[in-house]
Amino acid sequence: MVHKLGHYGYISDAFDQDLAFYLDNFNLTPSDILYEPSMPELDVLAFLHIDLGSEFSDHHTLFMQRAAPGQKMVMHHCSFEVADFDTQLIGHQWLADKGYTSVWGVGRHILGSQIFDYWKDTSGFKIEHYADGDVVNEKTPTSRQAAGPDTLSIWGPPLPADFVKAS
Amino acid sequence: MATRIKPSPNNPQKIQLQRISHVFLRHVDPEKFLTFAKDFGFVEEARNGDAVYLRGYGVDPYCYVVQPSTTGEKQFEGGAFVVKSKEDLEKAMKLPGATHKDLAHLPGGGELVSLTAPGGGKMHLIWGQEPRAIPTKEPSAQVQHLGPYNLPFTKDRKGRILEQS
Repeated sequence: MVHKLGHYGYISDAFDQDLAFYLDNFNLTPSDILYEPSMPELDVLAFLHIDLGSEFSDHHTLFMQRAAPGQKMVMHHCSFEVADFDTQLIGHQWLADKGYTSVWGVGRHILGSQIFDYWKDTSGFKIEHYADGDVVNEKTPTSRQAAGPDTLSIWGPPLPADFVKAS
Repeated sequence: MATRIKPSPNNPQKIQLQRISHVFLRHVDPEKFLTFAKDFGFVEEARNGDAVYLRGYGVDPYCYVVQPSTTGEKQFEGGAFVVKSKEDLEKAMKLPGATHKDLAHLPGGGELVSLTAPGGGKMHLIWGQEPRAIPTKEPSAQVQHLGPYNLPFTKDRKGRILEQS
């Protein structure tokens, strides 16, 4: 069984305006920012957490990725928490046995540290099981680094070529 | 053009979110998705009109709202966040295009304000919803007790974890 909704994210073709909307109107703040390696002044992905002051909250509840030129807004994935690593592997085998389509996993993310497992649902939406994610507070510094496959996982299957592109 | 994210420290004028709660997704074949959802680990909590409310075992009365597609394609209609106070909901009502809905007929009740981000994406705020009672221990399909992992040099977990005594 899943515990709760952990986060969702989408690719935005109005990245700067959308981020300003979330950051200026709400207590949302970046945990990690990624920039385009060939254009170090261009931020392309932001993981936002809910700023609860000294109280800890999940590393991200909302993330946003800058759309490639010409790309429209599209949801990337929604993620739901499960109890632990064992439950994730049981779930992975269960979904595989039912014949569903695995997208990426099981592996462990670097930004947020979650153990992840992405699936394609019957409508084509990407959906994730996660466990063992980081929690952050006002004392956790915001980090900024170049985007690239090496920022995504510390272990797990190879990153699928189209993972960052669409829902 | 601004291409670096500007820091925007929190202040009391901002709408204060407490936690994320649920997402709204529209499916071309909701019943087919519901079979997947059950296998994925959701529990059906309620149905109302064309919407099906799925929950986990956390405090949120539902964490996924399934609705039929209106366009013949799958549609994402945003996430909902619990706000800290009624004042936060009132602040949100002042944003352009905000709409308000009473949720008394849904699990947990409450009120919902829906907003549209500049790029057209939806975001929702909920207040006054009664949280679910949560179990004292996380349900796990097979694992009885985990405790710390036993490492090569340090075996902090003593005794058996899976075998019933």
